Amino acid sequence: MGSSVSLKCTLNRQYVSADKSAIVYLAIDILPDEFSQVQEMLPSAICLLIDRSGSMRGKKLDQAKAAAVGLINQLQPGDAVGLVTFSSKIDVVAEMEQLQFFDITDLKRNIEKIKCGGSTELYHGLDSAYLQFIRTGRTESNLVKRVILLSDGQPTDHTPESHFLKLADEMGNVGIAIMALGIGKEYNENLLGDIAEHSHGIWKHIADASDIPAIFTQQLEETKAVVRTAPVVVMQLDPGIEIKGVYKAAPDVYPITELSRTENGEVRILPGDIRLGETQILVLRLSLPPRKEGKFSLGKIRIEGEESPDQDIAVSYTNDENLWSIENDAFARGTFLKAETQAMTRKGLSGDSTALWKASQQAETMVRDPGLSKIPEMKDDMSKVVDIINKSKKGLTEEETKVAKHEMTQAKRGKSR
Amino acid sequence: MRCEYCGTNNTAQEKFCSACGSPLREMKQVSEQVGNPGGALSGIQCPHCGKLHPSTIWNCPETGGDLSGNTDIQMAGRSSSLSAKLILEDGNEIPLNTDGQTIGRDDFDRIVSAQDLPFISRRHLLISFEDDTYHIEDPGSKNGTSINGLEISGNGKYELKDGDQIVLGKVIKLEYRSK
Repeated sequence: MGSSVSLKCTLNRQYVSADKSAIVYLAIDILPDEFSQVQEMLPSAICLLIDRSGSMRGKKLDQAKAAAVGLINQLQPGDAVGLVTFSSKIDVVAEMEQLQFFDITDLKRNIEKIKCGGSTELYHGLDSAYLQFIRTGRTESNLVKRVILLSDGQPTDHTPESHFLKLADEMGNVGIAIMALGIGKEYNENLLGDIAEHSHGIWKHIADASDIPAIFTQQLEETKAVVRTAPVVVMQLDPGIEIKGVYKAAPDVYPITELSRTENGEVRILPGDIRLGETQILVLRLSLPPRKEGKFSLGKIRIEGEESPDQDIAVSYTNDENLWSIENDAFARGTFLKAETQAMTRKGLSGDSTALWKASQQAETMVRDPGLSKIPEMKDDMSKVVDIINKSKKGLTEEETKVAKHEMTQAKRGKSR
Repeated sequence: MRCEYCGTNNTAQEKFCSACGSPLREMKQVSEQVGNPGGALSGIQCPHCGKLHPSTIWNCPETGGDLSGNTDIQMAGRSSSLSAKLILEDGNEIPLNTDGQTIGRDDFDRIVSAQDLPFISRRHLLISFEDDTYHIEDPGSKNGTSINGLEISGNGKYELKDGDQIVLGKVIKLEYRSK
């Protein structure tokens, strides 16, 4: 579980017109408590999942081996590690175990022995990595759980994407985040991106094999910075209120397309592990039903298992046009639109020309929107989107497209307001 | 009022789009001046170049300077410079001024349909006022400009005469009126 986190909810409007339905935007900031700095680090459980298909031969596999050894060297007693490789078949090089129980020399020798050859059976590899956690009972919440996946190719196992996503969802639900690292231009960044998002992880593009060790180290550092694993945001919205869209808006950006609902109507959203000093932001577009004049609660929001009081969000329905015609704080709307534009651009870069056109229109409209001009970084971020779209119209190489798509999954990190 | 984000048409009383919740804003100054023959120009005065720009943009198109901190001001337009105009098929007008101006996509934003907008270049037409007459030039827009059926893109300045029929990017029809 780790240290406590708190919530801050902001609506873009405090007043809406009485007797009318309205669309409002809600931002939920999830921030670690300042006292977390003095907390002890949470132990991690990391399963390395390395592609050893034929195409990895040479520098890529050599660097991956060096990276695996480098990562193991940086682990501390109490951390657990496992190593699975996949090609035409799956090899469990090291069953997941706490560091102190390994014969490190032996482990390193086994890593050195990994050879290339065969196809890319990613699904079974991922499943096997998942089992490393399940079999050894490593699903508890005081453990930071990661699969670090490195692959350079399109999976050859013909598993439908829906199976991958189901597996990633399952892993995400027990707090195992997939850090999907794609190298070269052949891999399927849409698939890696999707499994990362469904498990509340990230995907990253690696341009140069010699960067692999540094990126493994960076992943470990980010794992070590986690102060709270898998918080669950629980929303109890009043009847009549509809959720029209949800995005994770920071530190990474992606649409949350499936919401889980409990029997009593609560909506649960998992934004992913919370790192030290880093705010996670969820943004929602809500449709409110018509109501007569007066202040109405939209519902309550809390973090599961936290003692801090529920956040009560409310709007006032009024006939006073001076009140309801004003947008009090454009942050939630702007952040939602930014995330939506980035997601559309990503779709556009995957070949959906309508999405690309809509994204460019929206980005340009946002740049002109005076309400959004006060939001820090907004103009720069939207100009970047326009820039990427313009470049893509002139034609991007496969690798440039991957880099551009990756940029669209990012938001300015850890900036608080 | 049409939402500039999602294109939904809302009633004039709405301040926020009923479909996407974005604040609705008045159309650009060019269309506001219809029915305002006294000719008041409005906009944000750019601290960098001194010209008035629509309050819907953040950066001065001339200098790139930041406009966001400047408040809207109203300034009386010169009637002589406001009398000449380009008229769209639906009656919307773009007033011409004697200082010279650039006409491009931004001037048509939310006046023409989103499908037609891409056919207009950002700097589609240059308007100049010399020897008491307006001249028009298409410096090389992507989809061209014709006047009375004659293509003028990249062919230098053309002197405008009352009633000239101008077609931008083969889709937007305009008529020049000298008064």
